[in-house]
Amino acid sequence: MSKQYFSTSLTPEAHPADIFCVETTSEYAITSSGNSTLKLWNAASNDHEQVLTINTAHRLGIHHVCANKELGLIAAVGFDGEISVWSLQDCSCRAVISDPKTAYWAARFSADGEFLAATSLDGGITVWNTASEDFEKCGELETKGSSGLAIDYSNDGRFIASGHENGGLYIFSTETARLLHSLPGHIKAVRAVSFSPLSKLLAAGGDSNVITVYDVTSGEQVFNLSGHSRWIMSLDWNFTGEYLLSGSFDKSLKIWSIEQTECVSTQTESDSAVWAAKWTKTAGTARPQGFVSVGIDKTVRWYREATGG
Amino acid sequence: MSFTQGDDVIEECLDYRSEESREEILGKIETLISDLMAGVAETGLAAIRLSNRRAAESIRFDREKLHLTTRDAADTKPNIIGFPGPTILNSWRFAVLMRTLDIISESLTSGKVVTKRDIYYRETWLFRNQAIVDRIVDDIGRTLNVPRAALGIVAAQKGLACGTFCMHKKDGTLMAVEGEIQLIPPFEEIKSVDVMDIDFVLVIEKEAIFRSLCSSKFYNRADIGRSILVTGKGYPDLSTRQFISNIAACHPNTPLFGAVDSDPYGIDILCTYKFGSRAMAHENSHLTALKMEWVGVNVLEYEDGWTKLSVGDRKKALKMLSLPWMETETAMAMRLELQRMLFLGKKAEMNVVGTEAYSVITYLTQAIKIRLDALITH
Repeated sequence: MSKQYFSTSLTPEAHPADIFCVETTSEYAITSSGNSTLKLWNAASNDHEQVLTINTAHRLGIHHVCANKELGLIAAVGFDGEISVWSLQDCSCRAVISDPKTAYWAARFSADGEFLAATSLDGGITVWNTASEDFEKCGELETKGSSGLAIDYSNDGRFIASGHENGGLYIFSTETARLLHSLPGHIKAVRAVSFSPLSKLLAAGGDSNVITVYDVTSGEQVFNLSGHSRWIMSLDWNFTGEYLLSGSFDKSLKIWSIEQTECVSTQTESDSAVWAAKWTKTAGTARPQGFVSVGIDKTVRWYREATGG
Repeated sequence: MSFTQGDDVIEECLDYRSEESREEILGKIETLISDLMAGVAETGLAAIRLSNRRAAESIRFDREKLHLTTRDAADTKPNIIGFPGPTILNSWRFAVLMRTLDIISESLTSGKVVTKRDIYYRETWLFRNQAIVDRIVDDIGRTLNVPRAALGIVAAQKGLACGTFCMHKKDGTLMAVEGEIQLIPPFEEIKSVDVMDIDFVLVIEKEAIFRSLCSSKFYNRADIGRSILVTGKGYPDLSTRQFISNIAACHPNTPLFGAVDSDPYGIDILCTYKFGSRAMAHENSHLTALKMEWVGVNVLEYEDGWTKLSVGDRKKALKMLSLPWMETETAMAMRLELQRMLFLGKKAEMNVVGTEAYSVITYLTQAIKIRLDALITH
C-alpha cells in the first residue's frame, strides 16, 4: 500500500547557501544554512511565509539547529564549533557555549526541555542544564566512537543515542549516564539517529545507504530499510510512530511504513541532495501530518499527504 | 585601455615593474646601509628595520579590486634585525640579511639576474635552507617597496604550459609552442605572449592530470575548441601566476578556467590564482586573475572515490572560510564547496572523479562546454 504526498509550497532561494538543517515546532519550521542567519517560517499558514530572522554570529555558517517549544529556546551549532542558544520570545541570545579543545556538531534538547545535549568531533557527548543561568555543564559521556555526527533524546527522557563517523552507534541511559548498548550494523558513518515516539525503537542511517532499526531495550536489530542509493542524511519518526521519513544524498525523500517495513512513498522533487527533513508538528489531527525538507537547492519544501480523490 | 595585440599595449600589460630604475634601487640599498653605519657610530649597535611581509596586520583585503594588498608601511610593526643581538640566532639573522643585500647589490650592479636558488647555493652553510632565502628576499622587496624582479631576482621555473602559442622573449628570441609541454620561463624574460585565437585557457592543479590532458591533445578539440593548458604543479610560483595574470589582462574576452581537487588545498590554490597570496601581498595587483572560473571538481559530482577529511584538512577549510574574500560573490561557489566538505567530512581528488567509464577528461570537457555555451547565449 503506497502513500501519496505532494508538495504544497516551496520557498526557493530561502537562504543564499545550502540549507543544512530544519527543525519543526508546532508554530515554526526553523532553517539553518551556510550563512549566519536562522530563519523561522510559519508552519500553520498555507504560504509558510517567513516570520522571523535571527542574526547569529556564526560567520562560517550553521549546520545544526534544534528547538524546544516549552522552553522557547533554539540552539544553533556553527561550523566554528560553537553552540548559540536563542530565545524564541525576543530573538535574544541566551548563551554561547564553546570548548577550545573540540568542536560541537549535532545538538538536541530533551523532550521536557530540561537538558541540551550535543556531540563533538572528538567523539564525546556533553549535556547542559537549561535551567541554570549560564547553561551549566552537567554531564559528559565518553564514547569509543570518532566524531559524533548525530544525536537524539528519547521522548520519555530515559535515553540518549549518538551516531559516529566510524560507524559507532550508542545508547546511553540518562539516569545512570552509563552506556547501555553499542549497536552493530554500521562500519561507515552514521549521520542520523532517531527514537520512535514511544521510545521503543531507534532508527539509524548513514553512509551504508541502509536504515537499521533496533529495539531500545534489548539492543537487537529488528529490521532494515533499504532503498536509498546514497548516504542517508536525516531520519525522523512521525508522531504516531507508524512512519519514518528519510532524507538522502541521492536527492530523494522516502517515507517508510514501520508495520510493513518497506518504503511507501518516494519524493524526487529536489534535483540536488537533501540535507534534512522533518515531520511538521502543527497541532490538531484534522490536518494529516506533513513534512518539510531542505538541502542544496536552497529551497524550503513543504509536503502534505494527498487525501481522498 | 584597449586590448589589441599591438606591441605597445602588451608592453603596458607586462610592465608591472616599479618605475624605479636600477640606480634608484641601488640607492635605496645604500641608504639602508648608511643608516645602519650611522647607527653603529651613534649607539654601537647595527640595526635594520625590515617590513614584516606576512604579519596579519600588514595585509588587508582590497574590497574594490578584490585582492590582497598591503597596508601602508607606516601602519605596520617592523621587524628589527640587529647586531650584536642577544642570541646567536639574532646574529645569524643579521648575517643572512647582509649577505643577501650584498648579492642583490652585486646583481643589480652587474646587470645579471639570479634566482633565489642561486642565492641559496652561494652560501648554503649560511642560509641553511631555501625557505630562509625565499623569505628574506621577499622581506627586502617589501621593505624597499619594489617587486622582487626589480631586485634582479627571478624565480626558478616550475609551471608548465601546453597548446599553440608563442612567446617573444626580451633577448629577441621567439619561443613557439606547438602542442608540446613547455616550461614557463621567468616572466622577466618575456616581452609578450601571443595566444592567437584560442577559445579558453585551463589551469590545472595537478601535473599528472595536466600531462594526460596534453597527451590526449585536450588543447585542440573539435567540440570545445583550441586552448592553452597550464599547470603550476600545485601552488603556483610567481612566474606561473604572472603568466596567467598577463594572459587574463591582455585577453579579457578569453575565458579562464581553473580545475583543482575538491579539498581545502585545491580551493586554496584556485584562490591564490584569483585573489593572490599573503606572501606576495605587495605585488598582488599584478599577479591575480580575478576572472578565473572554478570548473571543478565538485564534491557532489563524484560517484565514489571520496576520502575522509583529515583533522588538518578541517582546520584548513575553516581557516579558508574565515578569509575576507570568502564572503564575496565571486567566491560563493568555493565557499559552498568548503562547507559541503566540512558537512560531509569528505574530500575528493580529481583523478578519481566519476566511474571508470567516465574519466577526468570527459568531466572537464563537459564542465567547459557548459560554460562556453553559456557565454555564447549571452
